[in-house]
Amino acid sequence: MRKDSRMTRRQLLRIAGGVGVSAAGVAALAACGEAEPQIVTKEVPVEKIVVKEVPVETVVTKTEIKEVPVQTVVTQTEIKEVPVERIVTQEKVVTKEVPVERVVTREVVKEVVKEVPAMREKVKVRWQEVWADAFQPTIEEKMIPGFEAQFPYIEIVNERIEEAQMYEIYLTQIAGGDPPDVIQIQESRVPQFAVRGGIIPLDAFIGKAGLNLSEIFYAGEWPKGSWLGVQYALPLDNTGAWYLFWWNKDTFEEVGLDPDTPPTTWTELEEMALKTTVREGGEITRHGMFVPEMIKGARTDASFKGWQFPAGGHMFTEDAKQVLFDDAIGLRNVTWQLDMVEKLNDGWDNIQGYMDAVGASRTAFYNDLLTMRVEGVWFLGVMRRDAPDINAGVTHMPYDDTNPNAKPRSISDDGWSYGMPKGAQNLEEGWEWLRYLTADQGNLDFMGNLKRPSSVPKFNEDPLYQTEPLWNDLKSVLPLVEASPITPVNPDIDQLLKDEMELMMAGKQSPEETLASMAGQTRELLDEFFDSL
Amino acid sequence: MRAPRWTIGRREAVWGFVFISPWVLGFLIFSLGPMVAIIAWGFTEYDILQAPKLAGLENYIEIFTEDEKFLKSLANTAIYVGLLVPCQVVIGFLLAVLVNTKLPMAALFRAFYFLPTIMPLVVASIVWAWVLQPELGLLKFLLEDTMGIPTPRFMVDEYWSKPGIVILTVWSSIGVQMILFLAALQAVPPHLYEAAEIDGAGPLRKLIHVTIPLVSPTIFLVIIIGIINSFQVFTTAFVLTQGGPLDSTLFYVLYLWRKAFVSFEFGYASALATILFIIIMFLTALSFWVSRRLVHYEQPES
Repeated sequence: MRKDSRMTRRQLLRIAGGVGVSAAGVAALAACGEAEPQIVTKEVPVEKIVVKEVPVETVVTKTEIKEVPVQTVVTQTEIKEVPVERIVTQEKVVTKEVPVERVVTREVVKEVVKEVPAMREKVKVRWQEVWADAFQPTIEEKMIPGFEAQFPYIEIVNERIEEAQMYEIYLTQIAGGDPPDVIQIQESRVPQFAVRGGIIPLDAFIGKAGLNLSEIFYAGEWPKGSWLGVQYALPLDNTGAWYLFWWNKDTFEEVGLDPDTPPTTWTELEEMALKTTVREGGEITRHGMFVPEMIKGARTDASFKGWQFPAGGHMFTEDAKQVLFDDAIGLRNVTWQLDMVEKLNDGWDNIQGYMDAVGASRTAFYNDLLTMRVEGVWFLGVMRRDAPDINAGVTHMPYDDTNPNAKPRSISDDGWSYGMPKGAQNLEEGWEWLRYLTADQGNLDFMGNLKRPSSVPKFNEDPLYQTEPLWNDLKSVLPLVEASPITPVNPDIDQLLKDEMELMMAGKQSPEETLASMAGQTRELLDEFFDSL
Repeated sequence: MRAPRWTIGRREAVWGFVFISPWVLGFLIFSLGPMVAIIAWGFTEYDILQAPKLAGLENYIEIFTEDEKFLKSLANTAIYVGLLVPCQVVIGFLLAVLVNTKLPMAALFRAFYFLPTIMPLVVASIVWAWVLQPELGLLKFLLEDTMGIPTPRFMVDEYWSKPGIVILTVWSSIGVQMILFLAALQAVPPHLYEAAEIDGAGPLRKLIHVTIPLVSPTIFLVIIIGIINSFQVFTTAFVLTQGGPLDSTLFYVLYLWRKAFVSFEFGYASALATILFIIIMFLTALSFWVSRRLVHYEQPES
């Protein structure tokens, strides 16, 4: 006989009763468990000693200065200088010092304090970054423990992601509603995220923490993390100096140049590059310099921007709405680069092979196949790792001495920073970690380990760096860096600059056509974007 | 009243559905769902961070009327597919024939030829970047510096960049084609060769009249897979050339990726993806139509 497997009504009621009792038990147990710790905010009276200081009184007497120019009378035979009426005036500055009145009072004020319960449950802050590979020990043994000692209720979860996929990952996480709390982001991409609400404004946190960004960071660094006056990210490193000039001192000595005197102008650069070039059997066996090769990889966009500033030019107006490079300086920049390729390297074909993704130009520099090159601050650490014995020097980019307004300066329109993505769960805790990574000890730990300049000037004075012989030379270039405006269409502009410069180098278009095309396309992108706002 | 018993056929069908249900669910959720979403986003202005806005046919109109890089990337990809797929078929088949012989250590050769397949493509790309490097590379050292043979300037010459990527792709993927052909070769009944030999056929005739017709379904499979995969080429160009020199390796998916993740134009990129989907579907259908005349399927004995 087949056993009937159907459930009787009594069995059903028994099971339902059992489930009900179990659920009630679970609920009761849960109620007996540890309650969620709360942050208690309360006002407590605090007695404070207030010291008032009356400032030094300064009295300045100003006198107007008038100058009458030299008058020159030209006759047919001679030039006569008529005596000039010279009014010499003096500016008298009288500084009157008044003794400082020091008033010490005791006041009872009410201060809002946050009480964190001792048993507070830890908040996990998810931190995604792309650099940790070689620096995992520093992160795990120094940075995270250092931070967690200060903030015992925060646990940092380090999630390393691939740089090549970082934006795919960020966007997918944000769209999926599961972003991390703190992300590493390139400053060239900050406005792109900001204009779409993909990254959280930091102004409220910065204000609450009382941070004065211009006092903490280099002037060329912190503005890159902002968009339309709102700060969205704080800088990690000083990548402002994307364009530093490196030379091989041994090769300089070999050809009779002073190893400690690098070229400071474009004329000197050409002379020294020709002097260090070696030709054998009609072929160049050692190049002096690849002028359009910068950074690593086929970044001809970088070569345009990189030489534009020492040429005495600019890229955009301060509000980023107008193109400024479409002028005589821009034309001089592209024409000079093309001329140098012909004069120093016998054509683009001899350079192109070194402009690859694997860093052949670096290898050439290490192996005395290339004497001078341009790369950013990071090259110091890379060079020490790859070729520790190389006797190299570093200085600012040579400037165009045919332009009286040109001077040693460098553009900064990218770099690494940290921000908090849209949908981040732990904003307060995430901010504390972000601040630690950028403006606090975490930044020194990380950047010092890399032997790479920090975005915080005072950290660059740390003894951690002083073992590096080139450190002071490198550090001296950092103040020459100027931030250039970044817009949400920056990545598209970089791409078109690269494409157009490459076409010119390959002989497909003239410098004039190149400049006109770059300027036209850039204007179109900027106009389209600003019109859409 | 007793429920009617299921027939064996129905029971097998139910179990069949049970066993394939994970794949079906996976396909519906992870493949069909995104495909439908991408087709829909193609008609919107969308940047993934904000809600999509309906844009009608704007993306498609821009692609077909204004976008020069669309045509350039499509042409680059077509040339690449045209170079790669015949190489995969011919070299894969020849290698399979080679390792199918009763040579000593044939199994070792099979393993060697298959090894590159398990290497991640990013790693393979970096290794090959150094091999083909036009100034300091291994190939230049072996051919030009040692023997005086001029070496093509792979990766930096706009005419040699695609062949360079084809060489790398063949090297890294040929193991799969070889294994497919090897399986097909080993399935050819030996009595057909014996009959051909009795008829006086030499090795070449046996290859043309016996082997190739019998492995033609595998050749067809390799071509179809080759077309589908090579139209989606991305990693090698992304790692080695970033689309250069002079956009000569700006392949379709690399361009699509730039639109999506560099310019944040997801709606536009979705329209590009939909067009690629239609192109691949069309080419696959065309291959099936052509295969009706060229592919020989053994009829099962009744």
